[in-house]
Amino acid sequence: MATEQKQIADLVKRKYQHGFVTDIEQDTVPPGLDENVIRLISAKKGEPKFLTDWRLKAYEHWLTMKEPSWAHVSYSPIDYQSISYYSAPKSNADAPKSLDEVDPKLLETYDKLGIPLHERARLAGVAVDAVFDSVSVATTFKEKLAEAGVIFCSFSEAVRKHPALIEQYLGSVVPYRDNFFATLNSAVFTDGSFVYVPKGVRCPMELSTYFRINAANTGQFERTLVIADEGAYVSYLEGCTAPMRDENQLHAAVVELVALADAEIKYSTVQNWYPGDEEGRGGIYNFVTKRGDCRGANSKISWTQVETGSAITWKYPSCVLRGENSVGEFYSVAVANNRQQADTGTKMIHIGKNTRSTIISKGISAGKGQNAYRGLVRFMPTAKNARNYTQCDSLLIGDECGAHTFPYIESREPSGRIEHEATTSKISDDQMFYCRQRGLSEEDAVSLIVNGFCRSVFKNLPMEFAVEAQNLMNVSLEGAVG
Amino acid sequence: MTLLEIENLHVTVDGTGILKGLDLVVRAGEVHAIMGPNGSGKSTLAQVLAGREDYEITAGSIRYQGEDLLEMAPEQRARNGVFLAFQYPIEIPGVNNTYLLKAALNAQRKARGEAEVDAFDFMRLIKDKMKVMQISEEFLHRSVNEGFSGGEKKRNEVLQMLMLEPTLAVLDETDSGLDVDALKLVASGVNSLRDPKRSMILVTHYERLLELVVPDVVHVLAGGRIVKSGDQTLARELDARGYDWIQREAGAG
Amino acid sequence: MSMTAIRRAFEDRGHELPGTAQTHARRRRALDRFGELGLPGRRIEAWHYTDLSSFADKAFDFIAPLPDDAALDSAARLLALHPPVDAGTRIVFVDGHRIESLGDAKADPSIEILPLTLESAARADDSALSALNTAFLREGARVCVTGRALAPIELVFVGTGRGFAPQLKLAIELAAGAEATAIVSFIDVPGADEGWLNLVTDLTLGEDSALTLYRLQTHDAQLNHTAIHRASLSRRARLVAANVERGGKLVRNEFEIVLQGTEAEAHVFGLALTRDRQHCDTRIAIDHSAARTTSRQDYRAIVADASRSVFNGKVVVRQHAQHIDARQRNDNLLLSAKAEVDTKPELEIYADQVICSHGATVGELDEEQLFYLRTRGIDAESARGILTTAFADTILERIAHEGFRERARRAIDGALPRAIGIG
Repeated sequence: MATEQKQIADLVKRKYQHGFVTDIEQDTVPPGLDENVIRLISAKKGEPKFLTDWRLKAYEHWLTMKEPSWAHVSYSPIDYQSISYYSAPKSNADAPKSLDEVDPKLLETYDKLGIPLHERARLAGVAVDAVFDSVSVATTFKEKLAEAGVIFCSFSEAVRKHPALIEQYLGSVVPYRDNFFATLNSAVFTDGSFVYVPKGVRCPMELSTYFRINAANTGQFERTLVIADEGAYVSYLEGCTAPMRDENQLHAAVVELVALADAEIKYSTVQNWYPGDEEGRGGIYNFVTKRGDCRGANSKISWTQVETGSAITWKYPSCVLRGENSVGEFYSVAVANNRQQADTGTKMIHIGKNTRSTIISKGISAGKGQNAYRGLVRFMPTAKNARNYTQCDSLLIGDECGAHTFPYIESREPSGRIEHEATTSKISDDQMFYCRQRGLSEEDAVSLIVNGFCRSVFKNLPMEFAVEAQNLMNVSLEGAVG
Repeated sequence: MTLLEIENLHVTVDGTGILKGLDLVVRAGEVHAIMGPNGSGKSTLAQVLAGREDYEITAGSIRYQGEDLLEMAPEQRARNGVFLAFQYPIEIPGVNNTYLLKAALNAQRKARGEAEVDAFDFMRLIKDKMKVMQISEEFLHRSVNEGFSGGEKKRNEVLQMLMLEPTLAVLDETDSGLDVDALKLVASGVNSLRDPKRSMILVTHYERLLELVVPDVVHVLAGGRIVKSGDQTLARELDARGYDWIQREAGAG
Repeated sequence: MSMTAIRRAFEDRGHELPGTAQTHARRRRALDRFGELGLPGRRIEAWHYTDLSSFADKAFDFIAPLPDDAALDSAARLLALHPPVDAGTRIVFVDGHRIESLGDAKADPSIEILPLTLESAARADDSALSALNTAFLREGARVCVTGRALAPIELVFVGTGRGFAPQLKLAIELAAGAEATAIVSFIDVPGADEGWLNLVTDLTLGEDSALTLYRLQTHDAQLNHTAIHRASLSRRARLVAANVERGGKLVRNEFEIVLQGTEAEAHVFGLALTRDRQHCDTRIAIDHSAARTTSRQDYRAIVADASRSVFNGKVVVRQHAQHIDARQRNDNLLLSAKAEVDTKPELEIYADQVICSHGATVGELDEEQLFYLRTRGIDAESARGILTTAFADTILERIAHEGFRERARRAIDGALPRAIGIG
């Protein structure tokens, strides 16, 4: 384990060693973090003063914080001074020139996922702009969105064009003091996505990072802010189904969602960052803070996540149910295969009257993977008639993996009702036998049963994502049986 | 003598109108059947008679034995002889069947100024009634409806009715989900209670119960109102022709 | 009580505690260990919802003197109100001292009762409270069972309400094939001073042995109580532990059960009724270290007034401990807007041939059930009473010993009406 961790640590540092210092000197900040680096990031991005000040406050606070150790994961310490906190989007020179230069194993995966050829190139990070007309694709969507009044752009662009919205909402859900990784992100975030859906507007299409210009290279400290104004609706899809090529590093993103009265935000993630190899070498540390604020009455925030990637996942997409009758949902499938470690779940904080939350979590452990569900359901004394239902199931494949459940349930409201159920089991021999008697191979039988196990989560994904997610599951569990 | 008089009853649930001007008069000793398609408001009527609080009465009145039924708490209604056999009887883990029946019987007797039932008499009574309903002795030690099959739950409801001897019995789809033998059992239990002083409202979706418990009046409930009334031949006609024609007829009228 | 004050008490009066110089050195090391660990609180995950740091400001006397005649007299009068529930040996402690004259020894060839001294309690201190216990331990009882005990052995801990903080220890050891029942209860003469009883219980179950451990905690409202049960089960051993918590100020009851032999079984169930400003925390950790082991946890709490009930159940299944059946349930009835329920049912599984589950609920009485009872003529208040009693009975009914079951039921029934606001 020790050498493996050292290797991970080495990989975390790799960016520094191979960095862009020589290639594109002017756009790279040397590794390390201090106030000057933050001022430099802010200056390079031409940010207004409020944002520079906010970053600095976050940095100052970060210096007083300790890295959390409560999660059920283990890794060697991260050297925050060896990370380079600003590098401009990678130039095409850095990317593979064609599919021929891409890792064949990766291409094999795309093939299994049924991703069309030209998209494979995009996903693999091949510089597509010149090859495929993705710019015009993006432009078409932008026009359609602009017609509806929806703002959908990179975070940097939003800072330039809509500073008032940024100032009003940034950090209003995840304050810069929130937690170690969110605070670090607040100090050094480079880019991300911004969505604003105006009053009464139903966003005419599913928004996806797929269509966002610059999506692939937003870096390791992403910041996403989605605001649904009164009566608005938006469905946002995040993450591509592709492993990153070489980013063996810390990914500390922050996602903030704000739903005003009668608004609804549906946020779906399919996360398949590079998980490291069978021996646990490499892979992303995915330490992400995601939180939605149901600020207005009758608002709704729904998180759906399919987490198959990353070496370590530390992530709890949460809902603060402030508005009366507001609804929070969390549907999750998390897979830990080989030596992956996942500690993921949600927090549902009930503040308003008649607030409701549903948590459906499906954890699958295989190989030497460790998968933990960690969730908090809290009813404040103001949450009259609040309801929560939690169902949290774990499936074990093989006898060297682990499945863990750590729910925290706190109620201070007698008229509220909380129900929590959890089970841990393996695929039953009877189920396997039944499938095989009907002619399925062992692997197909597992895939059939696992997909059945995850069905209540997959059905919340947009159609095309659901198919991808299912295929992705099969790929990530390959070699888990037999 | 009029036992129950419902006038222009309007009921909404979560803001949706379910009953929209229902009128019904039930005299002492009569058995009324209320039939109707799914969602017509049959169960709502049954629940409102028992006093469920989630139902909002927006207009109309219900008089029972000359008094305002809507003013009474559920337990007052029960003590005054209103009994609801639930469509989906709830399970109450930890509360023994015998205990519930005794508590219910005594609550009723106390309200009438009578002494509590003697333990020995009570056991004899319950065992008699259990024989009628073909319920085994171990039932006495089980929790209310816990782990009962659908049929057992319905039989238990009828057993409670036999014990409490109500003045107005409302049976909410007590026949649904029963096999032929259980249905006969339930019907014989109900028939054994027929009495010139006792009235019954049978809420049902099917006619088959009404072959065994012959009603005095059959009503068809559709769209929240009684759209047609008749005798048993109406029930047979509904069984043969379904509800579409009557909804069309009502719609046209 | 601050660390300085505790040390001073140890230096000034430590000589009153029994033992040799060697024992005393061990006490001192334990005190140092306690100093390092500090009073447990939120920073320790197992103490997520209970914080003892406020104890630093309280004046506890860890070296309670031998009770005087007046104290013994009040203890005797209290005991008269709590007669034995069965015919076995009864051991009585008053303010941390075993008082033979108040007990009742019955001959039983299968049971030997020995004094428990620091010398005979060799286990290392793995927590602050067990270190504190070692530092100030005066005595305890060691119950050795070699065969099938004739009657339950009863252990009664009496407090006389004078602010003492006795440190006590029990050891119950069952030889292979032995069978016994132990009934442990806690009662106090009401007093004005805040006390604290810290009890460590070690349970050792040999192969094929069976122990039933009953606990009825009806402390006075001024008593804090911390108890840790450390159990180790050999092959086919079976432990049944039933706990009824009704009294005390801040109460923490902990079980650490290791199923070391195959086919060992542990059933831990309990009922807590908390009122006023009581705080009651139960933690049950069951470690399935061997294959084909079984565990059950079933805890219920009725939480009234401004009280707080905490439950933390943990099931750990070690790698290669296959064919495990572990179930955990925790249901809470939250009766007041000022009360709080915190529950943390955890599973940590490293083997795949397992059936593990947990369920937890928090809420008030079920509206549908209340309505059903009312349609049968039962008034709302009585219906609440019936359903609350039924909620408690589900646990109490599982107590096999009739005498203890009735004792426990009376303790709960007497306190229920006021808790549900109908008394």
